[in-house]
Amino acid sequence: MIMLVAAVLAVTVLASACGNAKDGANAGQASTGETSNLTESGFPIVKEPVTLKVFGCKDANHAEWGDVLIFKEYEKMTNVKLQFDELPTGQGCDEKRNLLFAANELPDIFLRANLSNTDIAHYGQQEQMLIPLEDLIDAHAPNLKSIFEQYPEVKSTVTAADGHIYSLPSIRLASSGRSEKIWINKEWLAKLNLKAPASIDELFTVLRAFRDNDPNGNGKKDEIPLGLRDIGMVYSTFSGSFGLEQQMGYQINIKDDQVNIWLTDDRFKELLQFLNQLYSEKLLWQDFYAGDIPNWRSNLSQALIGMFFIQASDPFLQVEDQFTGMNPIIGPHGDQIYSATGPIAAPIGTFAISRVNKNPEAAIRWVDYFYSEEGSKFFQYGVEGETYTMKDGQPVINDSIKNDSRGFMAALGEVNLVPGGSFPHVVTNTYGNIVENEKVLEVNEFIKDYLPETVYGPPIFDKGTSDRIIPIKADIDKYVRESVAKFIIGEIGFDKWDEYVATLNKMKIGELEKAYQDAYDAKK
Amino acid sequence: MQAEAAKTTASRGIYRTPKHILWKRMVVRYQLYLMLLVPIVWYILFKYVPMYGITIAFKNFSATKGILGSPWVGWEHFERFFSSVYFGELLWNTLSLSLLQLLIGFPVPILLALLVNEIRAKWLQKLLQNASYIPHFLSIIVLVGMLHIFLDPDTGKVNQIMTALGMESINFMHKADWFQTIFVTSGIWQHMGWGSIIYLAALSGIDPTLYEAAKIDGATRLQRVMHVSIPGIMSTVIILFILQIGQLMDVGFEKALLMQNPLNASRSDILPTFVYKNGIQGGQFSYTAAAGLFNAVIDFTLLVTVNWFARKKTGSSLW
Repeated sequence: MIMLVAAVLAVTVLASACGNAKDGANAGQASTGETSNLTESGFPIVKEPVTLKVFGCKDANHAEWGDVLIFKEYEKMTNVKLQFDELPTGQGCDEKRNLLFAANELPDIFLRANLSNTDIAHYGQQEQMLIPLEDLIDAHAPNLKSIFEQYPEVKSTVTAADGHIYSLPSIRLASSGRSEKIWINKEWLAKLNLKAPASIDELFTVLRAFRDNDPNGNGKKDEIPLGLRDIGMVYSTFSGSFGLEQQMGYQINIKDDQVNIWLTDDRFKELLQFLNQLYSEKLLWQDFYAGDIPNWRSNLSQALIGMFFIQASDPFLQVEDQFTGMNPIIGPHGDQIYSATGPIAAPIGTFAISRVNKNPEAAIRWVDYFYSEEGSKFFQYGVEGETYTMKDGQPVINDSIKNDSRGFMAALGEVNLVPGGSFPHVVTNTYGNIVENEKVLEVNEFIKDYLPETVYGPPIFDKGTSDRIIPIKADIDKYVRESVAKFIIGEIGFDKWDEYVATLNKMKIGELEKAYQDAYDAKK
Repeated sequence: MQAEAAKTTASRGIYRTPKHILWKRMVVRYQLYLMLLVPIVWYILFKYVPMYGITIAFKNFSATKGILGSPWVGWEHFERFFSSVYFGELLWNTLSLSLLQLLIGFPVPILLALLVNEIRAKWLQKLLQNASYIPHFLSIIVLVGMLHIFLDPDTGKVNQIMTALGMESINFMHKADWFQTIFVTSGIWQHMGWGSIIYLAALSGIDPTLYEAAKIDGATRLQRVMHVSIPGIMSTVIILFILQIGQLMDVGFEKALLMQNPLNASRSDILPTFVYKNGIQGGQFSYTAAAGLFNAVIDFTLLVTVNWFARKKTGSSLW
């Protein structure tokens, strides 16, 4: 293994050493030459065609990026040609991105490349491989600038500890775009003569009925009463009913400016006990912790899951009419908030410009269009007449795409990069979110009043802090993930809770909390 | 002293310098040395040159400054690794898994070879050999997929048989305590046939007159195996054992990674998976280079120790 790491680094660094010297020499003279190539405003962006190298992660539903309709159209509009190097998400994309940085073989633009806050802190603040964008935004990105002015929290979320902005976010102004919604099968409820549960006891009654009474009427016990998608949902879905929120992108509650990581709180223990009971009664999907998303989606599209959480109905469009929304249940202490929601700007690492980019102005102009109403419509719906039509001032996507035999998302992946999200763009209330149809908005009604007032985004720590806390956080996250799964499945009993808390304290969870507190105070 | 000096001068007089004679031989048989050049270049390029990358274990690797330009930090990464909460668990998981694999996995192909060798019916011998080779050609991905299918708590054959016999169904793949058992036994199943080939070859090299003599002396079948077959292949066994030691810490990294999930991570997290997850995926290059270097040092120490032991006890060794 060491050889693998060492060899990859050595070979790539050697190979790139000569290449970079050349790049550096060119950069200075080029920037003056290219500025005049830039047009004043609007399209095209540049007079003479400019080519930019792009690295990114491709969702399973995307077509090859070079074949995606909006990219082809946008190239004609802007005169900016993109040379794509995309890898499938989860299948080597993160690895490749790390190696690009480590070997200093940078593309011009990182687009939808899953840049984490740690990456931004490391490769932006520390290594300066990503360039600060705030001056470019001021000068060349009017749309983004006006969003920053209107929503200061967006700007504060993307600003790193050193005061610079190294990456641009996906921005969702409509609340429905930020939240997972609660879905419940209303046909099953009607058949069993039950109403949507409001308390924990009622929840158990309903789910037990789903389990035992064959509500889909096929004579088989194939119903999954409650389908959590993966282990991460443990922290977000029911946590609000126990008074636990998801602030700063972590398991954090903020009260009176006090940051509290609640992983060792008794409330969290109660939540786990509740989930443990669900699991042991076989009400909770027995494979939820394995993270087998295709399996989960297949159950979903066959309407086999009674209650679940998801943002939009695209994976089960054919059966969406069987479902409706419900309010978050009232917890044992009377809490009724809903935590499966995120900040307006998230994720933040969807777009970054590297220091080898000779046309940063063109690049920022290129992305800025997607932060306008028009650009948002163009990104989501494509070309009028070709992929959508306007009805009553609202874009309506063509039926041939919506009812494609491969599924809506697969067809949409040939038009744009909406599937999988995480593209640098804005979703506004004017044209809405393409994946959120009437049904989704109906279901959103049930939760929208229960969301926390503000949701803080994850902070970008300064260099010293991240060096110190990254290993701490990595250890803690690994330990918590394993322990949580074991508590819920009953592998370890709750008599071991004190041991769990003691281990976390030994792992310096206090120091982690302090780092978040400092980051919170700094932003205030 | 004098005699020795005289001898050296004398030999110089006769052979000139030994260096010179080597050079001459190389020129005469240049084709052979050209062929040798290929692996030497390969070793230098792909095994020795990358070694300078190990230095990042003692540096704070910064891509902008490159491997040579990154600042030295001494033992910092090692200290962090050794004081990490997971260090003990990682080391124990790696060591115990490798040792289990060696101690249980090593003798099985020998037993299989002895068994096959004793079978009289040629067709059965061939059938058994072929049947046991085939799994060797499965890729790790397929093998782990098969494990998931066969060991599934509801639909897996193993659990169906167990429930039919009135036992509790076990979710094998999600129990930390089962991880090592499944890892080792599936490895044995996959590789025992392949591993037995070399022993079968060694067995066929034993002089048949030895068996005949043993038979005339009234040795039973078991006695013939014990006193003719096993001593006959012992030197092969020892050399292969030492070779296996060389790969001791190099437990099937891909397989461990593929079989891993949060529930069995307390057993399935081994040094190589740790390096992969934190280094290649997590981008902490310096830290994981330190962990990987530590892995290599343990490996090297074990190899030298076992080699020394083997030479002392049996006289045969790698070097």
